[in-house]
Amino acid sequence: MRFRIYRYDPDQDREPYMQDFELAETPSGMMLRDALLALKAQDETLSFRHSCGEGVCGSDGMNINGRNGLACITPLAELKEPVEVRPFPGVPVIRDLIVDMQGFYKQYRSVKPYLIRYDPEPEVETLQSPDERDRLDGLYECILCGCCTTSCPSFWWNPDKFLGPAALLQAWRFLTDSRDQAENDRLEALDGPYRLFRCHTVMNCVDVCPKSLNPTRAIGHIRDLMLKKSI
Amino acid sequence: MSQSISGLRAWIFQRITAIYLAVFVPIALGYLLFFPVTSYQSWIELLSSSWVNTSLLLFVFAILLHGWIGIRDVVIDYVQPFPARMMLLVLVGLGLIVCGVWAARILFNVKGVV
Ligand code: SF4
Ligand code: SF4
Ligand code: FES
Repeated sequence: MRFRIYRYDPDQDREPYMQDFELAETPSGMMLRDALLALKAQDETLSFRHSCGEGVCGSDGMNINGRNGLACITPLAELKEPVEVRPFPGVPVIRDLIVDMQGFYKQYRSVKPYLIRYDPEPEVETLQSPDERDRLDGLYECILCGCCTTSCPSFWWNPDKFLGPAALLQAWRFLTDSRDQAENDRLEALDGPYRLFRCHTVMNCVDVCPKSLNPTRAIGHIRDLMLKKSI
Repeated sequence: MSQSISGLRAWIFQRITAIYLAVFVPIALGYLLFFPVTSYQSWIELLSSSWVNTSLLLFVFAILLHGWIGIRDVVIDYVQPFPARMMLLVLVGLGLIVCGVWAARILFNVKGVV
C-alpha cells in the first residue's frame, strides 16, 4: 500500500515536503496507526503522537486524505491510495505530524471546564436526577482530540479569538449541568463578536468528530439560552 | 458600531431583518407584477401611501442592517490586519449610511410632494 506523508523538521528542512512510503504487508483490519508504526520502522525519523491505540486518548489526530481523524481507529481498508497523511490544518507544526495544541488547550481552559458552585460546600454529594444526568450525554464523551476545532474554518481565521467547537461543546456541558451555578457568568463570557459568534454553522466539526459528538448543536443550545436570558 | 452590535445582538438582528426581507420582498415583487407602475406620477402615488412608505423605509433599514452584519462577518473572518479591517468597515459603514439617508430622503420627500 502506498502512502504520502507530510515531513517537516524545522531544524533541518527549509520547508515541508511529502515523502512517499510503501508498505508491503497490510493484514486485514490494520489501522492507519499500525501502518505508521510499520513505516516508522522503515524510517525512524518519522514522528507522530499516539498512545492508547483504541480511540480513547485522542493523541493521534491527523489529516487523513483531507479529513481529520484518529489514525488508530481509521482502517486502511477505507482509504484511497496513495494515503495522504498530513498534520492538522491551521495549527503550527512542531515536527512531521506533531502539531502545537497550546492554542486549542488555551481556548478549552478559558471556558472554565469545571463545576462552579457559590453555595457553601454541602455535607453530602450534590445529587442529580436521571434526567439531569442525561443532559450530559453527548457532551462529556469528548476526548479533546482537536479533530473538530482544527477542521473549523472559523478557527483557522481567528484561532486566538474564536473558541472553536471543542471548547464550545465543553462550555455547554457545564452550562447545562444542574450542579453548576455560574450560568450568567459563563454566558456573559461567551458573548461578543468572536468567542462564540464566529461560528457560521459550517458543521465541519460534526462531520469529523470521531466520537460522533455534535458541537454545532451545543453551540445552538448556548445561543438559545443566551436569547432566552436576554429577553 | 461594531462594538455596539456584537455577538448575540448582531445575531438576533440578522435573523429578524432576514425574516422581514423574506416577507417583504416577495409581496412587493408580486404587487409590482400585478399592478405594474408605469409612470413617475404613479410611483409618487404608490409611495405616498403611508403603508407603502413605512414598509419601504423599514425594508431599507432592514437590508442595510442585514448587509452590515453580513459584510462585517466576512471582514472579521478574512481581513486580518487591523488597519485594513478598520478602514474597510468604516468605508462600508459610511456607504451604507449614505444609502440609508438617501433612501429616507426620497421617501420623506414623496410625502411632501403629494
Ligand atoms: S459549525 Fe461552527 S464550530 Fe463547527 S465547524 Fe462550523 S463554524 Fe466551526
Ligand atoms: S468534540 Fe469530538 S472531534 Fe472535537 S475534540 Fe471532542 S472528541 Fe475530538
Ligand atoms: S492512539 Fe489514543 S486515540 Fe488514537
